[in-house]
Amino acid sequence: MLDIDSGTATYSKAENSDDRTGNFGGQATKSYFYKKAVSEIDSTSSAVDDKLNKSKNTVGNRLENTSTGENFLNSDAPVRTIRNIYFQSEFITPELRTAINLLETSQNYIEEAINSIQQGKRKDSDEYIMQFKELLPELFCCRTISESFGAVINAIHNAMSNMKGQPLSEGQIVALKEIITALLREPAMSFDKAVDCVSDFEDADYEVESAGLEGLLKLVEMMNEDEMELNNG
Amino acid sequence: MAKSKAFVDTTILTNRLIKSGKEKQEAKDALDKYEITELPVYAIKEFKAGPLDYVKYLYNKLQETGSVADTIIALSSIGRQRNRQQTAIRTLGELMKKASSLSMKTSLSAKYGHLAEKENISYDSVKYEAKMLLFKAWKKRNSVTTKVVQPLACYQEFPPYEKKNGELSLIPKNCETDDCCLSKTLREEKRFDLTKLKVAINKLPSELKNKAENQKRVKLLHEIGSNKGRKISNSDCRNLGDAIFALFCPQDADILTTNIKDHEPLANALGKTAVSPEQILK
Repeated sequence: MLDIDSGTATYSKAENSDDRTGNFGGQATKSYFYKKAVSEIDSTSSAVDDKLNKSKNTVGNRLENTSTGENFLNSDAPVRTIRNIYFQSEFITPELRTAINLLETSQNYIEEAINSIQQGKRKDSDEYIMQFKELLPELFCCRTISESFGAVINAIHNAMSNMKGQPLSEGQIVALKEIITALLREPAMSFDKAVDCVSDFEDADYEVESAGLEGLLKLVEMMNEDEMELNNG
Repeated sequence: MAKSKAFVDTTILTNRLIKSGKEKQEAKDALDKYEITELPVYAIKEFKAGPLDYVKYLYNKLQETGSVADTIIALSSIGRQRNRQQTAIRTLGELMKKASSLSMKTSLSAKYGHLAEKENISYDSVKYEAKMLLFKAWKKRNSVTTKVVQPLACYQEFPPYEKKNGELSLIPKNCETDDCCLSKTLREEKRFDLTKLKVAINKLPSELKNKAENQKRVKLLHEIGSNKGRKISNSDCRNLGDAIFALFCPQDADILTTNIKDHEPLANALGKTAVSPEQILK
């Protein structure tokens, strides 16, 4: 369940009597609350969002609102007005509010990166991607929103790190936009859905696992083989 | 000269789904060289009981210990390992633990508290990653090749799931029968092939022939071939291992494997071919 009083989005595992949760990690409750609050925003504000993204909400003024989320509620942009109604909802935690701000900013950077690369301005495109990457640590701090949110942000962070400074191709930036949009649409998506999102993202030539995980898995493998050898011997 | 069809073994499936970097890329490129790639369900069964089980094991160990350093220390106590190896791994874990406790908090810690501490970030990051890898690998297993072939009547592909206590489970990993669905085919249609494989293993250089897995395999091949009433249990089925790929690979396909040393003599004994990604990508 969401723990609204403490301002953290903790939730219990699904309360099934069966041993299986059936949804890869008890995300259903969280997802329900999130959807209840945000689905209406999506349906009513997407048109306004489009308009706004083209005019008032440039990357610059988005940035002012990014890191704390404090200015968010005071903004006079039309989309903000619509969103404010819902963002005062008891269901929205500070982490979710901040995450949505950061994701929207990310989306703008990525769109700018796509526009730049399409105009042949590769350097500008890289710079927008660099600015987007700077938001990832704070986005990861919002992982109490849901396990799937944390897992998706983590996969994106690994993918960026594994590029080792190589510029992203247009296809990779488009895939980045898609996964950020999916997360913005449903930050507390089921883990199953998160797996689908990360799989699609990975198909754009990204490596979403870290060297750290690989090292730990090699250790497990080595220990198990060692044990098997000794047992066989 | 490679054939146009590949019969994919567990090592390729693992490199494609679990590994990263060069191993993953080579597996992908090798698969792309073939017009048709077939993955037998036997490879999926081996994959679930082996490499995927390691991912699950790591995740559950992280869940149990609550830290990466403690997980490494716990891993160092598996089995009765050689002392030096065990000491080295344990020391690494202790060092990590010390480093985490001394590490400075990030600039975000004032706002996010423990969520911004390096140790928690590392822990959550690797835990999410392990879980994501496990479910992703399972979902993608059927899309690694152009076809999944040779279903096993006694084995059902149940997906991984999360238990109420937060641990991940891969159960069932085994065939649920006391006599494997392959036993009739092995005894009746493949009897001569069993003998050929037994002879091939016995001809191997002693370091290969004396490997525990080959000794078990020869014994099994002999028992199944000579005793009509011999039932094949789940562990027998697993111990047949590489022999299953040699026995069931179609004549017009290569066995694609990274474990060429073990597969090649068995495949050749039955007039078949085994190739590695390295060979195919030359």
